Amino acid sequence: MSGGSVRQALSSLHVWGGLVFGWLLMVIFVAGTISVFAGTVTEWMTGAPVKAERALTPEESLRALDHAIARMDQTGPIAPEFNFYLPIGYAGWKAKGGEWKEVYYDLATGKPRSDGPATGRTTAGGGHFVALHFSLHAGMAGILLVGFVTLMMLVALVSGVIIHKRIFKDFFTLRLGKGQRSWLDGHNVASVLTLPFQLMIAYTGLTIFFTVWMPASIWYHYGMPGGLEAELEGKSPFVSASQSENQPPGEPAGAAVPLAAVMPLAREAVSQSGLAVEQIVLTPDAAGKLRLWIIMHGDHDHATLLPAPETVFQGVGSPVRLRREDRTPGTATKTADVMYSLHAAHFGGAAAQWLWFLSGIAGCAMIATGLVLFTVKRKQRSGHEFGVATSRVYRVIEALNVATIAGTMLASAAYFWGNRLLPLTMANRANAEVICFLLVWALTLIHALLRPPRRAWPEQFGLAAILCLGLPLLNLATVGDWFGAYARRGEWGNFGLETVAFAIGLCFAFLAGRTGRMRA
Amino acid sequence: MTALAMTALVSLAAWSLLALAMQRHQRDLIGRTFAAGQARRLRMAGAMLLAVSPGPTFWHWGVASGLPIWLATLSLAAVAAVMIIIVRARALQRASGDQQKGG
Repeated sequence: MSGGSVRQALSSLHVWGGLVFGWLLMVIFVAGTISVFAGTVTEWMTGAPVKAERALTPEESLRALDHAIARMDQTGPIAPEFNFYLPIGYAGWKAKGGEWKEVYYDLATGKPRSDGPATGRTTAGGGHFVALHFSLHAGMAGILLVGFVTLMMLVALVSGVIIHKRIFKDFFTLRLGKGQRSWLDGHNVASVLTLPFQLMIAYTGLTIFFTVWMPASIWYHYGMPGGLEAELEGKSPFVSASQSENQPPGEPAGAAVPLAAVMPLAREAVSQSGLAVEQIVLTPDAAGKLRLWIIMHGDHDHATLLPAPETVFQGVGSPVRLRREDRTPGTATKTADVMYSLHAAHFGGAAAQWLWFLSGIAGCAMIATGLVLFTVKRKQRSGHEFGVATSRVYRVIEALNVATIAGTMLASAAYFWGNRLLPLTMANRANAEVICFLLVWALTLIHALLRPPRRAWPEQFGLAAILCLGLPLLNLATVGDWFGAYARRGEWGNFGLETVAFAIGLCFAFLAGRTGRMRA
Repeated sequence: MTALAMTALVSLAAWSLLALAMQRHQRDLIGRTFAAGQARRLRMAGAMLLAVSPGPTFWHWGVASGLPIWLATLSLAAVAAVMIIIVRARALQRASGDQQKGG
């Protein structure tokens, strides 16, 4: 095959592969870009002034634990199986009937909060975008589909580099107002200039779920699907098989730990390590004895891509005493941690998060310009690939473009509006928010199929602009807060979200204006 | 944030010089072309700035975290350079249009 025909073949792969998988990829990218600030989104959506969960000092962590245990004693007879997480102030325990009960505590007062993990409304929050990003809300089938689409993105990136003949010559070239030429320039600029990020995000995205794509080694060692799960059943996730095997002779793996013993043991763990308690797990082992783990993390060094080092204290012996384990992850775990850190910007602090957010927007622009370029090009020079149905197929393609580009933005904005407008006492409120997103998204597709593209584009971008620009006003009307107040209180996450929503609203308004002047 | 701002500025300067070394963008940015020797010097200066641009991020975050942060900054600085070229080229076009009308 000559160089020209290789390029030709890759060009077809890039164009058609990019089109078919680009629709899903657009949704995955929009959701992923917002997911960089998933915590901030959740904070804003709770709708009331909340303090950011900060790391507690060792003394504060002990005080919080003391409050939680004291409160649990007051709530009546409880079985002592118990989980406690800081700094969110969560305590969960198994009640006598086997029912799992949970309470979130106000860390300052020690009083339970009746309204969930954060003051304010029940919400799916940023978790919706995270779930949409990696599974399209479709469980394992969604994870597999997202993985395949990501693989196709890598194929599109590599084939795109090969077919782009003037990669260096056109490096800075973006000619506006020249029709198809401008769309191609825009697609090239968004792709080539941010290529390292796009390659990294696709590759690391694939590696996060590598055991799903490449399960052969797990199946070989533990048996076909389900073998590993069966092996792990009944074992605590906090202790590996090898650690259990390496216990000193005569030392029992676990001992019965009453709830009353937890506080003194936590104090001892804090004094030994100098770290704050982050997690306490009191759970039965295979023999039915309660086993205790106290989990702590050292400071996270933003200069490293690895998570904070972990120290675990395990309750052993009778009477119970603590055994310290400073966890040093193996090479495979470290590699997986680095990949995850890189993908989710869990390093470098706010700088990395903003860079990933902006690069994510560039990725959205790359996909959107590619999708639009396809239809612009085919309108001018149709290949009649689908015979008599060609024009109908292109019509559907254009409608899908509108729904996945403008529609996803519109549905995302509607999701935020749903959060503020749905009744606070509504059952399954968090689900209703997600349904609101999906419903609006479905409507955008119907709208795009019914309206001619030259009307559908500006109408959807225009509505998205109204929703984004109106978000601060809606917040003021429903919650009584606005970005000025957020800035005064130093709630920079909430301030940033509304400011970015407003800026994006202006961009949508510009796009609505531009697409409104489009020729049919 | 200072380290990030420094890397962003140095990267933007590097891309701008590299763009200025290309004839097409010389016309976009200054409305005329440079001699070959001048263009070569601009290219070398741009390449040198590009080479030192990771310095602040590596110094602040270390090589492991600094490398991805530098690459992302470098990419976004290149996008900013393209925007500057577009704005500048339009301004020059408008100015030359006004001159023609005036003349």
